[in-house]
Amino acid sequence: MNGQVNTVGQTINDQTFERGIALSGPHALGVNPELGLIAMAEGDSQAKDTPAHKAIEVLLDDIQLNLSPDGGRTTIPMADSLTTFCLRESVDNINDYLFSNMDQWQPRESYKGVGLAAMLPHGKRLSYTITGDTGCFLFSDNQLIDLNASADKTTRLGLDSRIKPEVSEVEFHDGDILIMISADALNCTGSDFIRVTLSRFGDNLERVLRQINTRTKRNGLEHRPDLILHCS
Amino acid sequence: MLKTTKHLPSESGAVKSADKHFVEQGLKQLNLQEKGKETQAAKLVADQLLKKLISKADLSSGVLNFLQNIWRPVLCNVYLSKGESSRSWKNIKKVSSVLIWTLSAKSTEKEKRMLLTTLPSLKHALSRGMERIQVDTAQQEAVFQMMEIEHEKIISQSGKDSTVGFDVTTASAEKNTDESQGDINRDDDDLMKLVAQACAVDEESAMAVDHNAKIQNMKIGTRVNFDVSGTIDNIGELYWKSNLTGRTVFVNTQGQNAATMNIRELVSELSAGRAKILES
Repeated sequence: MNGQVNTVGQTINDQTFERGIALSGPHALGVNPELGLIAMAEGDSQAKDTPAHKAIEVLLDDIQLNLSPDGGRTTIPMADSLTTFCLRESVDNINDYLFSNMDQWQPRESYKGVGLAAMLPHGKRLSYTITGDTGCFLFSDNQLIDLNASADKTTRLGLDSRIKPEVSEVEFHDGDILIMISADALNCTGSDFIRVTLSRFGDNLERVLRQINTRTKRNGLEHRPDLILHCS
Repeated sequence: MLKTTKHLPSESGAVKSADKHFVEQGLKQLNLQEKGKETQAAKLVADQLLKKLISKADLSSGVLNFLQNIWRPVLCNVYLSKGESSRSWKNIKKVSSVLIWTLSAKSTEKEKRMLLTTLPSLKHALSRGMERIQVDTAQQEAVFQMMEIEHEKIISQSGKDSTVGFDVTTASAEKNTDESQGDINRDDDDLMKLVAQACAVDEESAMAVDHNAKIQNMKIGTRVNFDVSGTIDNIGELYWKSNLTGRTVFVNTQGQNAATMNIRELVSELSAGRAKILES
Protein backbone atom coordinates (compact mmCIF):
# COMPACT_ATOMS: atom_id res chain seq x y z
CA MET A 1 0.00 0.00 0.00
CA ASN A 2 3.07 2.24 -0.09
CA GLY A 3 2.03 3.43 3.38
CA GLN A 4 -0.55 5.68 1.77
CA VAL A 5 -4.28 5.10 2.19
CA ASN A 6 -5.58 2.16 4.23
CA THR A 7 -9.31 2.79 4.11
CA VAL A 8 -11.35 4.52 1.44
CA GLY A 9 -15.08 4.84 1.37
CA GLN A 10 -17.68 6.60 -0.70
CA THR A 11 -21.41 6.99 -0.65
CA ILE A 12 -23.86 7.61 -3.44
CA ASN A 13 -24.37 11.18 -2.31
CA ASP A 14 -20.74 11.98 -1.51
CA GLN A 15 -21.41 12.29 2.19
CA THR A 16 -18.35 12.77 4.32
CA PHE A 17 -17.72 10.56 7.32
CA GLU A 18 -18.61 12.30 10.56
CA ARG A 19 -17.29 10.53 13.64
CA GLY A 20 -16.80 7.48 11.46
CA ILE A 21 -20.32 7.44 10.03
CA ALA A 22 -21.62 8.44 6.61
CA LEU A 23 -25.29 8.30 5.68
CA SER A 24 -26.13 7.33 2.18
CA GLY A 25 -29.37 6.49 0.36
CA PRO A 26 -30.63 3.39 2.09
CA HIS A 27 -27.27 2.76 3.74
CA ALA A 28 -25.22 3.90 6.68
CA LEU A 29 -21.49 3.33 6.40
CA GLY A 30 -19.13 3.14 9.32
CA VAL A 31 -15.35 3.05 9.63
CA ASN A 32 -12.86 3.01 12.44
CA PRO A 33 -9.52 3.31 10.60
CA GLU A 34 -7.59 2.92 13.85
CA LEU A 35 -9.02 -0.51 14.55
CA GLY A 36 -9.60 -1.41 10.90
CA LEU A 37 -13.35 -1.81 11.33
CA ILE A 38 -15.52 -1.30 8.26
CA ALA A 39 -19.28 -1.69 8.31
CA MET A 40 -22.34 -1.08 6.20
CA ALA A 41 -25.96 -1.16 7.36
CA GLU A 42 -28.82 -1.27 4.96
CA GLY A 43 -32.26 -0.09 6.03
CA ASP A 44 -35.07 2.07 4.75
CA SER A 45 -33.87 5.29 6.14
CA GLN A 46 -31.70 8.16 5.06
CA ALA A 47 -31.38 10.23 8.17
CA LYS A 48 -29.94 10.23 11.64
CA ASP A 49 -31.68 8.31 14.42
CA THR A 50 -32.95 5.72 12.01
CA PRO A 51 -32.38 1.96 12.30
CA ALA A 52 -29.43 1.75 9.89
CA HIS A 53 -27.74 4.79 11.39
CA LYS A 54 -28.32 3.55 14.95
CA ALA A 55 -26.94 0.12 14.09
CA ILE A 56 -23.68 1.65 12.86
CA GLU A 57 -23.50 4.12 15.73
CA VAL A 58 -23.90 1.37 18.34
CA LEU A 59 -21.42 -0.90 16.53
CA LEU A 60 -18.70 1.76 16.34
CA ASP A 61 -19.22 2.76 19.96
CA ASP A 62 -19.27 -0.83 21.22
CA ILE A 63 -16.11 -1.80 19.35
CA GLN A 64 -14.25 1.35 20.33
CA LEU A 65 -15.19 0.90 23.97
CA ASN A 66 -14.47 -2.80 24.24
CA LEU A 67 -11.41 -3.17 22.07
CA SER A 68 -9.58 -0.13 23.28
CA PRO A 69 -6.14 -1.05 24.60
CA ASP A 70 -6.79 0.06 28.19
CA GLY A 71 -9.17 -2.82 28.94
CA GLY A 72 -8.45 -4.64 32.20
CA ARG A 73 -9.69 -8.14 31.48
CA THR A 74 -8.00 -10.86 33.49
CA THR A 75 -9.99 -13.95 32.55
CA ILE A 76 -8.77 -16.83 30.43
CA PRO A 77 -9.61 -16.24 26.76
CA MET A 78 -12.76 -17.92 25.60
CA ALA A 79 -13.30 -20.15 22.60
CA ASP A 80 -13.68 -17.03 20.47
CA SER A 81 -11.00 -14.43 20.05
CA LEU A 82 -11.74 -11.24 21.97
CA THR A 83 -12.52 -9.45 18.70
CA THR A 84 -15.05 -12.06 17.62
CA PHE A 85 -16.57 -12.06 21.09
CA CYS A 86 -16.95 -8.28 21.06
CA LEU A 87 -18.36 -8.27 17.55
CA ARG A 88 -20.85 -10.99 18.44
CA GLU A 89 -21.99 -9.15 21.56
CA SER A 90 -22.34 -5.94 19.61
CA VAL A 91 -24.45 -7.54 16.89
CA ASP A 92 -26.69 -9.17 19.54
CA ASN A 93 -26.88 -5.83 21.27
CA ILE A 94 -27.88 -4.07 18.04
CA ASN A 95 -30.50 -6.71 17.30
CA ASP A 96 -32.00 -6.33 20.79
CA TYR A 97 -31.89 -2.56 20.55
CA LEU A 98 -33.55 -2.40 17.13
CA PHE A 99 -36.14 -4.99 18.14
CA SER A 100 -37.09 -3.39 21.43
CA ASN A 101 -37.42 0.00 19.74
CA MET A 102 -39.38 -1.35 16.80
CA ASP A 103 -42.34 0.97 17.38
CA GLN A 104 -40.04 3.95 17.27
CA TRP A 105 -38.83 3.45 13.71
CA GLN A 106 -40.87 5.54 11.34
CA PRO A 107 -42.68 4.93 9.18
CA ARG A 108 -43.46 1.84 11.21
CA GLU A 109 -45.22 0.05 8.32
CA SER A 110 -42.18 0.06 6.08
CA TYR A 111 -39.69 -1.02 8.75
CA LYS A 112 -38.16 -4.27 7.55
CA GLY A 113 -35.19 -4.58 9.83
CA VAL A 114 -31.56 -3.86 9.06
CA GLY A 115 -28.97 -5.76 7.09
CA LEU A 116 -25.58 -5.31 8.73
CA ALA A 117 -22.15 -6.26 7.48
CA ALA A 118 -19.03 -5.69 9.55
CA MET A 119 -15.42 -6.76 9.03
CA LEU A 120 -12.72 -6.34 11.63
CA PRO A 121 -9.16 -7.58 11.15
CA HIS A 122 -7.01 -8.40 14.18
CA GLY A 123 -3.52 -9.73 13.83
CA LYS A 124 -3.55 -12.59 11.35
CA ARG A 125 -7.31 -13.08 11.60
CA LEU A 126 -10.40 -11.40 10.28
CA SER A 127 -13.67 -11.45 12.23
CA TYR A 128 -16.77 -10.68 10.24
CA THR A 129 -20.53 -10.85 10.37
CA ILE A 130 -23.00 -10.39 7.55
CA THR A 131 -26.77 -10.18 7.60
CA GLY A 132 -28.48 -9.10 4.40
CA ASP A 133 -27.11 -9.01 0.88
CA THR A 134 -24.23 -6.54 1.13
CA GLY A 135 -21.23 -7.76 -0.87
CA CYS A 136 -18.28 -8.61 1.39
CA PHE A 137 -15.03 -9.85 -0.09
CA LEU A 138 -11.55 -10.68 1.07
CA PHE A 139 -8.87 -10.29 -1.60
CA SER A 140 -5.90 -12.40 -0.60
CA ASP A 141 -3.08 -13.82 -2.72
CA ASN A 142 -4.88 -12.77 -5.90
CA GLN A 143 -7.94 -14.71 -4.85
CA LEU A 144 -11.28 -13.04 -4.21
CA ILE A 145 -13.16 -14.78 -1.40
CA ASP A 146 -16.88 -14.06 -1.20
CA LEU A 147 -17.56 -13.97 2.53
CA ASN A 148 -21.29 -13.66 1.96
CA ALA A 149 -21.53 -16.64 -0.40
CA SER A 150 -23.05 -19.08 2.05
CA ALA A 151 -24.94 -16.61 4.22
CA ASP A 152 -28.71 -16.48 4.50
CA LYS A 153 -29.30 -13.16 2.76
CA THR A 154 -32.87 -12.85 4.02
CA THR A 155 -32.00 -12.56 7.73
CA ARG A 156 -32.17 -9.03 9.08
CA LEU A 157 -31.53 -7.51 12.47
CA GLY A 158 -34.25 -5.97 14.60
CA LEU A 159 -37.15 -8.20 13.64
CA ASP A 160 -36.74 -11.09 16.07
CA SER A 161 -35.00 -10.95 19.43
CA ARG A 162 -34.09 -14.64 19.20
CA ILE A 163 -31.87 -14.56 16.12
CA LYS A 164 -28.17 -14.95 16.70
CA PRO A 165 -26.25 -13.74 13.65
CA GLU A 166 -23.13 -15.71 12.93
CA VAL A 167 -19.73 -14.14 13.52
CA SER A 168 -16.91 -15.98 11.76
CA GLU A 169 -13.15 -15.79 11.48
CA VAL A 170 -10.79 -16.38 8.55
CA GLU A 171 -7.08 -15.91 8.05
CA PHE A 172 -5.95 -12.43 7.17
CA HIS A 173 -2.49 -11.42 5.98
CA ASP A 174 -0.58 -8.21 5.50
CA GLY A 175 -1.58 -6.67 2.18
CA ASP A 176 -4.95 -8.40 2.06
CA ILE A 177 -7.80 -6.14 0.97
CA LEU A 178 -11.35 -6.01 2.25
CA ILE A 179 -14.17 -4.84 0.01
CA MET A 180 -17.66 -3.98 1.16
CA ILE A 181 -20.07 -3.01 -1.59
CA SER A 182 -23.82 -2.47 -1.76
CA ALA A 183 -25.83 -5.21 -3.47
CA ASP A 184 -27.00 -3.03 -6.37
CA ALA A 185 -23.46 -1.93 -7.15
CA LEU A 186 -22.21 -5.50 -6.97
CA ASN A 187 -24.81 -6.50 -9.55
CA CYS A 188 -23.40 -3.84 -11.87
CA THR A 189 -19.77 -4.83 -11.48
CA GLY A 190 -19.63 -8.54 -10.84
CA SER A 191 -17.03 -10.20 -8.65
CA ASP A 192 -14.74 -11.07 -11.58
CA PHE A 193 -14.28 -7.39 -12.39
CA ILE A 194 -13.49 -6.62 -8.76
CA ARG A 195 -10.91 -9.40 -8.68
CA VAL A 196 -9.18 -8.24 -11.86
CA THR A 197 -9.25 -4.61 -10.71
CA LEU A 198 -7.70 -5.48 -7.36
CA SER A 199 -5.03 -7.59 -9.05
CA ARG A 200 -4.04 -4.67 -11.25
CA PHE A 201 -4.53 -1.69 -8.94
CA GLY A 202 -4.53 -3.23 -5.46
CA ASP A 203 -1.70 -0.96 -4.37
CA ASN A 204 -3.89 2.11 -4.94
CA LEU A 205 -7.32 1.88 -3.33
CA GLU A 206 -8.45 5.25 -4.70
CA ARG A 207 -7.79 4.02 -8.21
CA VAL A 208 -9.73 0.83 -7.49
CA LEU A 209 -12.60 3.04 -6.37
CA ARG A 210 -12.51 5.03 -9.60
CA GLN A 211 -12.39 1.87 -11.70
CA ILE A 212 -15.44 0.46 -9.96
CA ASN A 213 -17.25 3.79 -10.33
CA THR A 214 -16.61 3.81 -14.05
CA ARG A 215 -17.75 0.23 -14.40
CA THR A 216 -21.01 0.68 -12.46
CA LYS A 217 -21.80 3.84 -14.41
CA ARG A 218 -21.21 2.07 -17.70
CA ASN A 219 -23.50 -0.73 -16.58
CA GLY A 220 -26.36 1.61 -15.82
CA LEU A 221 -26.04 2.45 -12.14
CA GLU A 222 -27.19 6.05 -11.94
CA HIS A 223 -25.34 6.90 -8.77
CA ARG A 224 -21.91 6.18 -7.38
CA PRO A 225 -21.88 2.96 -5.39
CA ASP A 226 -21.77 2.73 -1.61
CA LEU A 227 -18.38 1.17 -1.14
CA ILE A 228 -15.62 0.74 1.43
CA LEU A 229 -12.14 -0.64 0.78
CA HIS A 230 -9.64 -1.44 3.47
CA CYS A 231 -6.10 -2.75 3.30
CA SER A 232 -4.07 -3.92 6.28
CA MET B 1 -120.03 -12.47 26.50
CA LEU B 2 -119.38 -15.82 28.08
CA LYS B 3 -117.48 -16.89 25.07
CA THR B 4 -115.66 -13.72 25.21
CA THR B 5 -115.24 -14.09 28.93
CA LYS B 6 -114.01 -17.62 28.44
CA HIS B 7 -111.42 -16.46 26.04
CA LEU B 8 -110.42 -13.50 28.08
CA PRO B 9 -107.97 -15.24 30.40
CA SER B 10 -105.98 -16.85 27.61
CA GLU B 11 -106.11 -13.72 25.46
CA SER B 12 -105.23 -11.69 28.49
CA GLY B 13 -102.34 -14.12 29.25
CA ALA B 14 -101.09 -13.84 25.70
CA VAL B 15 -101.33 -10.10 25.88
CA LYS B 16 -99.55 -10.10 29.23
CA SER B 17 -96.86 -12.38 27.85
CA ALA B 18 -96.47 -10.15 24.81
CA ASP B 19 -96.37 -7.13 27.07
CA LYS B 20 -93.79 -8.76 29.29
CA HIS B 21 -91.69 -9.67 26.26
CA PHE B 22 -92.11 -6.15 24.91
CA VAL B 23 -91.11 -4.63 28.25
CA GLU B 24 -88.14 -6.97 28.61
CA GLN B 25 -86.95 -6.12 25.12
CA GLY B 26 -87.42 -2.45 25.85
CA LEU B 27 -85.49 -2.72 29.08
CA LYS B 28 -82.71 -4.65 27.36
CA GLN B 29 -82.54 -1.98 24.70
CA LEU B 30 -82.52 0.72 27.32
CA ASN B 31 -79.78 -1.13 29.17
CA LEU B 32 -77.78 -1.46 25.98
CA GLN B 33 -78.30 2.22 25.27
CA GLU B 34 -77.26 3.03 28.82
CA LYS B 35 -74.22 0.82 28.51
CA GLY B 36 -73.42 2.39 25.18
CA LYS B 37 -73.68 5.82 26.77
CA GLU B 38 -71.55 4.71 29.70
CA THR B 39 -68.95 3.30 27.33
CA GLN B 40 -68.94 6.50 25.36
CA ALA B 41 -68.63 8.49 28.58
CA ALA B 42 -65.75 6.26 29.74
CA LYS B 43 -63.95 6.72 26.42
CA LEU B 44 -64.49 10.46 26.61
CA VAL B 45 -63.16 10.69 30.16
CA ALA B 46 -60.18 8.48 29.31
CA ASP B 47 -59.43 10.56 26.22
CA GLN B 48 -59.65 13.81 28.19
CA LEU B 49 -57.32 12.47 30.87
CA LEU B 50 -54.80 11.20 28.35
CA LYS B 51 -54.95 14.41 26.33
CA LYS B 52 -54.21 16.41 29.46
CA LEU B 53 -51.34 14.15 30.48
CA ILE B 54 -49.83 13.88 27.01
CA SER B 55 -49.69 17.65 26.74
CA LYS B 56 -47.38 17.74 29.76
CA ALA B 57 -44.47 15.83 28.27
CA ASP B 58 -42.70 15.20 25.01
CA LEU B 59 -43.46 11.50 24.65
CA SER B 60 -42.03 9.02 22.19
CA SER B 61 -44.21 7.25 19.65
CA GLY B 62 -43.77 4.01 21.60
CA VAL B 63 -45.21 5.59 24.75
CA LEU B 64 -48.03 7.28 22.84
CA ASN B 65 -48.83 3.96 21.23
CA PHE B 66 -48.97 2.30 24.66
CA LEU B 67 -51.19 5.04 26.09
CA GLN B 68 -53.60 4.91 23.18
CA ASN B 69 -53.82 1.19 22.57
CA ILE B 70 -53.29 -0.36 25.98
CA TRP B 71 -53.63 2.19 28.77
CA ARG B 72 -56.76 3.85 27.34
CA PRO B 73 -58.72 0.54 27.46
CA VAL B 74 -57.43 0.04 31.03
CA LEU B 75 -58.79 3.47 32.01
CA CYS B 76 -62.12 2.73 30.35
CA ASN B 77 -62.30 -0.62 32.12
CA VAL B 78 -61.74 0.91 35.55
CA TYR B 79 -64.15 3.76 34.87
CA LEU B 80 -66.88 1.40 33.73
CA SER B 81 -66.41 -1.29 36.36
CA LYS B 82 -65.70 0.89 39.39
CA GLY B 83 -67.24 4.24 38.60
CA GLU B 84 -65.95 7.78 38.48
CA SER B 85 -66.16 8.33 42.23
CA SER B 86 -64.40 5.06 43.12
CA ARG B 87 -61.02 4.92 44.75
CA SER B 88 -59.80 2.65 41.95
CA TRP B 89 -60.50 5.33 39.36
CA LYS B 90 -58.71 7.94 41.43
CA ASN B 91 -55.81 5.54 41.82
CA ILE B 92 -55.53 4.74 38.15
CA LYS B 93 -55.49 8.47 37.41
CA LYS B 94 -52.65 8.92 39.86
CA VAL B 95 -50.74 6.03 38.35
CA SER B 96 -51.22 7.63 34.94
CA SER B 97 -49.93 10.96 36.26
CA VAL B 98 -46.91 9.34 37.86
CA LEU B 99 -46.20 7.41 34.66
CA ILE B 100 -46.16 10.61 32.61
CA TRP B 101 -44.06 12.31 35.27
CA THR B 102 -41.46 9.54 35.04
CA LEU B 103 -41.33 9.99 31.27
CA SER B 104 -40.78 13.72 31.33
CA ALA B 105 -37.35 15.31 31.35
CA LYS B 106 -35.65 15.56 34.73
CA SER B 107 -33.41 18.54 35.26
CA THR B 108 -32.23 17.84 38.79
CA GLU B 109 -30.53 14.94 40.50
CA LYS B 110 -33.28 14.95 43.10
CA GLU B 111 -35.91 14.31 40.44
CA LYS B 112 -33.83 11.51 38.97
CA ARG B 113 -33.61 9.89 42.40
CA MET B 114 -37.34 10.16 42.77
CA LEU B 115 -37.78 8.59 39.38
CA LEU B 116 -35.55 5.63 40.21
CA THR B 117 -37.38 4.83 43.43
CA THR B 118 -40.77 5.14 41.78
CA LEU B 119 -40.09 2.66 39.00
CA PRO B 120 -40.58 -0.73 40.75
CA SER B 121 -43.99 0.27 42.16
CA LEU B 122 -44.97 1.94 38.93
CA LYS B 123 -44.17 -1.24 37.03
CA HIS B 124 -46.30 -3.24 39.46
CA ALA B 125 -49.20 -0.80 39.20
CA LEU B 126 -49.04 -0.78 35.39
CA SER B 127 -48.92 -4.56 35.36
CA ARG B 128 -52.04 -4.79 37.55
CA GLY B 129 -53.77 -2.30 35.29
CA MET B 130 -52.92 -4.28 32.18
CA GLU B 131 -54.09 -7.50 33.81
CA ARG B 132 -57.56 -5.94 33.97
CA ILE B 133 -57.82 -6.12 30.20
CA GLN B 134 -55.98 -9.42 29.88
CA VAL B 135 -52.78 -8.04 28.35
CA ASP B 136 -50.60 -11.15 28.21
CA THR B 137 -47.20 -11.44 29.86
CA ALA B 138 -45.24 -11.18 26.61
CA GLN B 139 -47.01 -7.97 25.65
CA GLN B 140 -46.52 -6.56 29.14
CA GLU B 141 -42.84 -7.42 28.93
CA ALA B 142 -42.57 -5.59 25.60
CA VAL B 143 -44.18 -2.54 27.22
CA PHE B 144 -41.75 -2.64 30.13
CA GLN B 145 -38.76 -3.01 27.82
CA MET B 146 -39.90 0.05 25.90
CA MET B 147 -40.43 1.98 29.17
CA GLU B 148 -37.05 0.86 30.42
CA ILE B 149 -35.33 2.41 27.43
CA GLU B 150 -37.33 5.62 27.86
CA HIS B 151 -36.42 5.84 31.54
CA GLU B 152 -32.77 5.19 30.81
CA LYS B 153 -32.83 8.10 28.39
CA ILE B 154 -34.34 10.33 31.08
CA ILE B 155 -31.75 9.25 33.65
CA SER B 156 -28.84 9.78 31.28
CA GLN B 157 -30.07 13.24 30.23
CA SER B 158 -28.13 16.16 31.54
CA GLY B 159 -30.17 18.97 29.94
CA LYS B 160 -32.41 21.52 31.57
CA ASP B 161 -35.66 20.60 29.90
CA SER B 162 -38.85 21.57 31.58
CA THR B 163 -40.66 19.09 33.77
CA VAL B 164 -44.35 18.47 34.10
CA GLY B 165 -46.33 19.96 36.91
CA PHE B 166 -46.80 16.84 39.00
CA ASP B 167 -48.22 18.04 42.26
CA VAL B 168 -46.27 16.08 44.81
CA THR B 169 -47.81 17.96 47.73
CA THR B 170 -51.32 17.17 46.62
CA ALA B 171 -50.43 13.56 46.11
CA SER B 172 -49.07 13.37 49.64
CA ALA B 173 -52.15 15.00 51.06
CA GLU B 174 -54.38 12.58 49.18
CA LYS B 175 -52.30 9.75 50.51
CA ASN B 176 -52.90 10.82 54.10
CA THR B 177 -56.61 11.33 53.53
CA ASP B 178 -56.96 7.93 51.93
CA GLU B 179 -55.10 6.28 54.75
CA SER B 180 -57.30 7.93 57.34
CA GLN B 181 -60.35 6.51 55.62
CA GLY B 182 -59.06 3.00 56.17
CA ASP B 183 -60.18 0.04 54.07
CA ILE B 184 -57.26 0.41 51.77
CA ASN B 185 -57.39 -2.28 49.15
CA ARG B 186 -54.41 -3.74 47.34
CA ASP B 187 -54.60 -1.28 44.46
CA ASP B 188 -54.57 1.58 46.92
CA ASP B 189 -51.67 0.06 48.75
CA ASP B 190 -49.67 -0.15 45.54
CA LEU B 191 -50.46 3.41 44.72
CA MET B 192 -49.63 4.65 48.17
CA LYS B 193 -46.24 3.07 47.84
CA LEU B 194 -45.94 4.54 44.37
CA VAL B 195 -46.80 8.06 45.39
CA ALA B 196 -44.86 7.85 48.63
CA GLN B 197 -41.82 6.70 46.73
CA ALA B 198 -42.31 9.37 44.13
CA CYS B 199 -42.36 11.95 46.89
CA ALA B 200 -39.55 10.66 49.00
CA VAL B 201 -35.85 11.00 48.39
CA ASP B 202 -34.68 8.46 50.86
CA GLU B 203 -31.44 6.74 51.50
CA GLU B 204 -32.34 3.87 49.22
CA SER B 205 -32.91 6.10 46.21
CA ALA B 206 -29.69 7.95 46.82
CA MET B 207 -27.97 4.58 46.88
CA ALA B 208 -29.57 3.63 43.55
CA VAL B 209 -28.29 6.82 41.95
CA ASP B 210 -24.88 6.12 43.40
CA HIS B 211 -24.91 2.59 41.95
CA ASN B 212 -26.03 3.93 38.60
CA ALA B 213 -23.12 6.35 38.47
CA LYS B 214 -20.68 3.62 39.51
CA ILE B 215 -21.89 1.30 36.76
CA GLN B 216 -21.71 4.02 34.12
CA ASN B 217 -18.06 4.50 35.01
CA MET B 218 -17.26 0.84 35.52
CA LYS B 219 -14.20 -0.20 33.54
CA ILE B 220 -13.83 -3.39 31.57
CA GLY B 221 -12.37 -5.97 33.94
CA THR B 222 -14.28 -4.76 37.01
CA ARG B 223 -15.36 -7.68 39.14
CA VAL B 224 -18.82 -8.03 40.63
CA ASN B 225 -19.96 -10.58 43.19
CA PHE B 226 -23.42 -11.67 42.12
CA ASP B 227 -24.17 -13.54 45.29
CA VAL B 228 -22.75 -11.69 48.23
CA SER B 229 -23.42 -14.59 50.58
CA GLY B 230 -22.26 -17.21 48.10
CA THR B 231 -18.99 -18.59 46.84
CA ILE B 232 -16.25 -17.26 44.62
CA ASP B 233 -17.88 -19.00 41.64
CA ASN B 234 -20.49 -16.25 41.51
CA ILE B 235 -17.98 -13.54 40.80
CA GLY B 236 -18.28 -12.10 37.33
CA GLU B 237 -15.84 -9.90 35.48
CA LEU B 238 -17.20 -7.13 33.29
CA TYR B 239 -16.06 -8.32 29.89
CA TRP B 240 -18.14 -6.23 27.55
CA LYS B 241 -20.42 -3.20 27.81
CA SER B 242 -22.33 -0.85 25.59
CA ASN B 243 -22.56 2.78 26.56
CA LEU B 244 -25.32 3.53 24.09
CA THR B 245 -27.70 0.76 25.10
CA GLY B 246 -26.58 0.02 28.66
CA ARG B 247 -26.07 -3.68 28.05
CA THR B 248 -23.32 -5.42 30.05
CA VAL B 249 -21.80 -8.88 29.82
CA PHE B 250 -20.01 -10.58 32.70
CA VAL B 251 -17.92 -13.73 32.44
CA ASN B 252 -16.85 -16.16 35.13
CA THR B 253 -13.30 -17.21 35.90
CA GLN B 254 -13.51 -19.83 33.14
CA GLY B 255 -14.30 -17.13 30.60
CA GLN B 256 -17.89 -18.30 30.20
CA ASN B 257 -20.85 -15.96 30.11
CA ALA B 258 -21.96 -15.46 33.72
CA ALA B 259 -24.56 -12.74 33.21
CA THR B 260 -25.93 -10.48 30.52
CA MET B 261 -27.96 -7.60 31.87
CA ASN B 262 -28.69 -3.97 31.31
CA ILE B 263 -27.66 -1.22 33.67
CA ARG B 264 -31.09 -0.97 35.29
CA GLU B 265 -31.10 -4.64 36.17
CA LEU B 266 -27.61 -4.31 37.59
CA VAL B 267 -28.63 -1.26 39.64
CA SER B 268 -31.53 -3.29 40.96
CA GLU B 269 -29.22 -6.18 41.94
CA LEU B 270 -26.80 -3.83 43.67
CA SER B 271 -29.54 -1.87 45.42
CA ALA B 272 -31.15 -5.06 46.69
CA GLY B 273 -27.80 -6.17 48.07
CA ARG B 274 -27.73 -9.27 45.88
CA ALA B 275 -24.63 -8.06 44.09
CA LYS B 276 -21.58 -6.08 45.09
CA ILE B 277 -18.88 -4.35 43.09
CA LEU B 278 -15.52 -5.64 44.27
CA GLU B 279 -12.76 -3.13 44.67
CA SER B 280 -9.74 -3.94 42.55
